[in-house]
Amino acid sequence: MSPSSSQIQVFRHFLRLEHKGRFLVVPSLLAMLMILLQNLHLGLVLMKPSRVVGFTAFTVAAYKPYFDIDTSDVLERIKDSLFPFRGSFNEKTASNPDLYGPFWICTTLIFVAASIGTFVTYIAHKLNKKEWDYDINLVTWSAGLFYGYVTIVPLVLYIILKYFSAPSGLVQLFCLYGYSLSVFIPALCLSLVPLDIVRWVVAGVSGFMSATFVALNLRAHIKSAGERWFLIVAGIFLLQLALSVILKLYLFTVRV
Amino acid sequence: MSDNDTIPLHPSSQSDIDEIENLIHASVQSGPATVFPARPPSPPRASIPVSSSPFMPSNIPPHPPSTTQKPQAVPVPPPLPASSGNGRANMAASGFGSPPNTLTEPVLDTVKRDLSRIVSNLKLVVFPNPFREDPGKALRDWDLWGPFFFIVFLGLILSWSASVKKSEVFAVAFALLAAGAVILTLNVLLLGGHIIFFQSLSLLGYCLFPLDVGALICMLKDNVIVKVVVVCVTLAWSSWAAYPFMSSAVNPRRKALALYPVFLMYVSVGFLIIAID
Repeated sequence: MSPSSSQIQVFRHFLRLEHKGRFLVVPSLLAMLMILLQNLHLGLVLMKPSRVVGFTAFTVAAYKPYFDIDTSDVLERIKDSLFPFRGSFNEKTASNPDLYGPFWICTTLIFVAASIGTFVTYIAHKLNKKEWDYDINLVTWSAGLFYGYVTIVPLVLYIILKYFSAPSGLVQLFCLYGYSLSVFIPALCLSLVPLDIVRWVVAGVSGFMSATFVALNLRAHIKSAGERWFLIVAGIFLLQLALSVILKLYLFTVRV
Repeated sequence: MSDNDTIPLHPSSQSDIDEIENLIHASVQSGPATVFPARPPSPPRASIPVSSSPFMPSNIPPHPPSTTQKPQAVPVPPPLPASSGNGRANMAASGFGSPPNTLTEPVLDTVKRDLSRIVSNLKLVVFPNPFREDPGKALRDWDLWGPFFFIVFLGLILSWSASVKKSEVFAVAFALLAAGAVILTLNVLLLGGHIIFFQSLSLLGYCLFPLDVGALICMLKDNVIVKVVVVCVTLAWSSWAAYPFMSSAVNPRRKALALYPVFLMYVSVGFLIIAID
């Protein structure tokens, strides 16, 4: 008894845009937002059979089930994410998706990206005997990029999967995306090497590994979605590759 | 001890005064028992006076008792924001069995008492002492002034050391430290640990003291090697200070999950200190 099926109909109707499309953009966005919020709440509350009722999204206790994880589990999941061709991550974490890994991997990535980006520009400036000033915008920019990516892309994917009637839990998607970024940490450390070709190779390889990890794990799940699954998987793959390229371009393009 | 004010009070304060009067009556009848088990009022904390002095509620700055004392506090700039705030903070604090005249005491006394509390907390948290293994006993008398000073001090030092974008540096440093302390505490709570929220914030703030010292030294000495060495030493000191409290708060199988973020935050702050020149 999914309350969202009628909402999906409404959503599809708006999307068809049979009428003059322009003035329907705002209502359709609002409808999308409503569906999203309702499903987000339902998704988070129904994910674990718990005794919470009502809108408890602002209490600590509502999120405790997603942090019910030990050190050994986290390390094992990170190790799993470094081997993208197994495709079994989703099944292993289906019963106990956690939000600890995604959040702290993102935060570590922000710190590593900011520090390595700073270090690279420092070395480049010193080698050319130029003045160097610390650019605090690296920290804020990389924070926006990583947190935004791990928050928005799974949300959009969740909506798209619901639309194609192959629903996946929202927290599972957060978990998947969060752990998929873990391969960028060693990649960024390796990019310290001052050769540009090495940096491009590292960015390409890590982007490819991360993208295949996400794509393979998702493919097994959404094969039931019908004929559009390949498009979705390809889109996700390209998006992750694009993230890797953007990282490389922003952090390691030194304008001396 | 009922109130006989002729000056009309702020409408919201009457219920506060009634409530506090009831509690004072109850505590007087039941003996000098402490009301809040986590914070035994070892130094006599202020209670809301129920005598006929013109009593202002806590969200309006205290006027008559402190204004006469304010010129005394002016030549001591760092505690100055503390002095007016201390009066307010002490007004709102617990301690219903203590004498009701700490609001009328000289501001210098309040400042001295708070400073001595900061120093004693610092000694308990950051320096080796026999209470470190029992976290519950050590930071019983926590406060938030010490952490506030240390965070603002670190932000100011980083801002002074920066040659460009000074205000952005201060903003990022302050936000990182303040939000970081809150997030670290939430992290421990979510992992199923047992800590008191503000006690943990207080602890993480006090553990910044070594990094403050390190930042000060780095600002004065501009050599990169010296900076790296100093920051590494103070970083290790900060982590050592925070370790017993954080590790005892969670399940031993999740100890690393609780400690890693603390380490990450201190490393990032250390990195900021090195990089800003």
